[in-house]
Amino acid sequence: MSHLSSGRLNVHHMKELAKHELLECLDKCVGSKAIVWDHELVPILGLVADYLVLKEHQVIQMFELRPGRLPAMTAKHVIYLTRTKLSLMDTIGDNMLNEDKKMVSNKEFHIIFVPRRSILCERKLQVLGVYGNFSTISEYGVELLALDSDVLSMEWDNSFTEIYIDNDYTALFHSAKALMTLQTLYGVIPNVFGLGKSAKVVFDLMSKMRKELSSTEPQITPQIDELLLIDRSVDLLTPLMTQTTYEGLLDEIFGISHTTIKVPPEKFVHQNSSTDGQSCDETVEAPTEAKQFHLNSSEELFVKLRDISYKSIGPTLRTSAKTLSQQFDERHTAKTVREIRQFVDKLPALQTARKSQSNHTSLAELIKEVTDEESFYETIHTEQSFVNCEDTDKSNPYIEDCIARVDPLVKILRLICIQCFTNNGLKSKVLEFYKREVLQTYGYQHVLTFNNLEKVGLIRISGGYSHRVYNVLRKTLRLTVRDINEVNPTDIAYVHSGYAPLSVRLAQYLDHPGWRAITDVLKTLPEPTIEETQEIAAGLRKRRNSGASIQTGLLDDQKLIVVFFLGGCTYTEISGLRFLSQKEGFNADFVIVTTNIINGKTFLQSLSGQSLN
Amino acid sequence: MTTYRISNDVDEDYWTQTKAYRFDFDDQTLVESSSVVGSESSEATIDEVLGLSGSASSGARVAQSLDEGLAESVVSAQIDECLQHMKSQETSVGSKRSPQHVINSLSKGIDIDLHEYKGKEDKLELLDTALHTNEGNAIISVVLHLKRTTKDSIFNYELSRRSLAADHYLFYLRQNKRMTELVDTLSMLGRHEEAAITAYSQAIACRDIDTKVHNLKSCLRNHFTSGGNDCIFWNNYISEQISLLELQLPIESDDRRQEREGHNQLFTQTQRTPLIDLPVLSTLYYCCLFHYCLSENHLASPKAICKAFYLSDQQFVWTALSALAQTRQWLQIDTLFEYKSWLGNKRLKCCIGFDKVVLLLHRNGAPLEVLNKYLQTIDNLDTKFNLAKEMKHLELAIDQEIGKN
Repeated sequence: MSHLSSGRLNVHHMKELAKHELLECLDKCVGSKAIVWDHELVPILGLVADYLVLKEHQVIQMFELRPGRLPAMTAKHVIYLTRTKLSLMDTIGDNMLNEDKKMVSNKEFHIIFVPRRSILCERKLQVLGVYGNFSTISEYGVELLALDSDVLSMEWDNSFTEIYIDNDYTALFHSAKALMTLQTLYGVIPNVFGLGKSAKVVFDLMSKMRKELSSTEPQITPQIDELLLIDRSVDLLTPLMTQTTYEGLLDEIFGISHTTIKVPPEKFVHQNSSTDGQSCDETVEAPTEAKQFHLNSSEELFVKLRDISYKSIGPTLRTSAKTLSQQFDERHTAKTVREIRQFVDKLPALQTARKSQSNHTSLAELIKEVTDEESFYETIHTEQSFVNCEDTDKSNPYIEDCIARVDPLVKILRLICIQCFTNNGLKSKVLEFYKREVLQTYGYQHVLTFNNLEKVGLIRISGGYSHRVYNVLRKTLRLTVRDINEVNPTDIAYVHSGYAPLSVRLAQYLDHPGWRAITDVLKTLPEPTIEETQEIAAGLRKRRNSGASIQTGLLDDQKLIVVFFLGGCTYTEISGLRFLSQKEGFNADFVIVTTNIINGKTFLQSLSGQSLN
Repeated sequence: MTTYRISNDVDEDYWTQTKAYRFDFDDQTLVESSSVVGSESSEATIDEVLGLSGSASSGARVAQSLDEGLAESVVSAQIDECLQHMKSQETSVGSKRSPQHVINSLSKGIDIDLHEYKGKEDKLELLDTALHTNEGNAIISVVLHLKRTTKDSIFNYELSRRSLAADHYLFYLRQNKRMTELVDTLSMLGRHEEAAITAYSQAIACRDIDTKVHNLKSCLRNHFTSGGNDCIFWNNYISEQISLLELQLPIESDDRRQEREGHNQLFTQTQRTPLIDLPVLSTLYYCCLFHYCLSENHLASPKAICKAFYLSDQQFVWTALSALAQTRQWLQIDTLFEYKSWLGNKRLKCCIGFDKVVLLLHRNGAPLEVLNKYLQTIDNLDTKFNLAKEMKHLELAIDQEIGKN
């Protein structure tokens, strides 16, 4: 996974740290081990260590946590790796109670809670009567997982719902801890900016933690210049908009979970048979299982594709196909043995590149099927008219049509919420109309859905005084850009085909001309705004080349800004930040840290608490 | 004081060894226990047994006595000594651990018995310290301790003054699915809307329909008739939901009987899905499929449903159209749109626009004459042409073009 070292910040260190801690936890039990995994943790910990590494530490068997009896195991230690969910405690209790008495005496049982021990869970185990069976109970506190060289995530699902609907700030506590780990590895971040309530909570927690650890702080020059904490509630609009970048669309259509994506396999069969040169008569059995891919920057083609708009996927693939075939054709021009040898050395790389090309071509075809549909066009068109403040105060005919057609409810809720946001609340007549239609078409249980959306502020009745707030925001920060060129974009608004994510714009304005220029606008956003500095020893402060002028733009002069999204971020926001850092005249690089990655569907699904189909 | 002799042979070795032994009651032997790991867990076990929060020294002493032998009376003597030591520690105020220390331990997940915090002020001080750290584990431990050891009225009062503690307690109740307590606590805290919504979510989670209806009714009575504008707003919808369920029950049982008997052709032709718990419009669709011709007096008549749930004309026409198209009853569709003009002629009119009608019929495979009939009623020539093109009826399209020119 060397691609993790390729960014400005070597996040490979984080992965190594996490791996080291996991192995330390496991090594506490001496002897052969069998691990019983909580199903959800498998992909997450897959980002930290793979089976080979575990095997080196005497892990001989691995099982999934399931109710009923434990399968037969020969290992001396049985280690449960689980999250602190009470339902999982029930399953563990079930396992233990069904265990054969004789088996128990040969083995030792342990629990490792991820990320922390929980008194509630331990009490539950006591109530179930199995607490005494466990020899050790420990915790494995992995805070941040390196999804890519510039993206770190806590993979904390439902973080926004927990913070704003359940009022549970545990995710924020862990965010602060994650920041402390980050600062231990890369130095104390001197300048902190933030927006929103969660940002303030995290900053206060971080300051408190720093005070407690003041004597043991590592004395290293900070690699990170600024930290920007963004509370999701500051920008609720961006997750609702349809994402139109390659990675964004993959997430919207198929769902990318922990950098893995599962797609229907039909399109991928033909590629295999043709490259193997098998005859067409031979029938290849259609695979029934979904095909799975890892999507990260170790794939060169994916790096080129991930952040571009869906309109430029075709041209990019064509160019890369041409380059690839040119490279393959080199074998014809190779005359000397040395040239042939050079070609043969390049062969494995070329073959992986070819596989990558065919995979992404198929993925692009799958995306095209969706983006060619009339409904996709209509949805984008409706969203664009809303964010441009056109016709936002009446009930929208396209939304009505979708309800009449019984389209998936999540799509309708997204559009209603966007309209509500851009109109600064809807008139009670319009809102009642929407509610009525939805309840009658999808069932009365969505009273609960609406209640949650109102609690968070996604749906509200317009108050008279604030009726033009969004429009002011839009004009001052240039949130919408007419006639955006998606193929050769000049502005981040291409990620949503004409709407620039508010959060990314705020990051852009922070660098230049600074937030002082937009204080009026900032006041309309959810309070508070933070601009603080953290004390570090004078000798450690980064010395900037006083002689060199800004125009030469030496790489070392590029600021490194960590943007921390509290409550989730979308792939388009990541793409937007990457685009910004490559833009001319913008001299900062970004590392994105987030509680989790979200899209409109997962965001609303988690808020509503019910199935939205 | 007699020493309990296990066996003479192992006497000497036994008393001079420091290995930990465990008596296995099944086999009646001493088994070397490798699972007594360190003093921490034995301290924990002793704590639970003795019900005291052990300080390090006495804990170690007891652990040592474990090492040296399971002699019953030896242990009991040690326990007596411990008890006395503990009691003496208890009464001296100075040795009570500071709230901060306790909170730190709780945050790390170490379960500590909070019994030494007896007075109300002490407990509240502990609670406030916990709240200050914003630490979930600590806060909920202290809150639960408070709940166990104080009078309800005092607990409620203090909780209502600390919203963060209240939030944590409510979250705990929700996680443990103690819903009645949750609703009561919410009402006590004055959060009537949340209580109403929680009660409602509980009510709709019932599988059995009769219990569901009963729960919904009591929920409506208790929570939604008063308690804020939002509650009153949802009041209507919940009453509708109850009426809908009460309507669906008899229709479902009757239809199921008819389906079994097999007399009614409609049920044999079309697949019937259970009606219970379907939304209003789906119910309307169902009744249009199977009970279209019933008079308005009948429970299952589509018209009656529209009236009962205030459905609009458009909703009725669109749903009826979809149902009739699916069962290919083209003639019935005519009657949807027909009306007599003042001259006595039969005319066609549709509130949702004939372009949508034509598309829907086309998707359901309607014959050409039917499509044509409705296509002709569209005034706008461009729409007519586009529709004809979309439906790939080239002759129609060409006719329109000629007609235009």
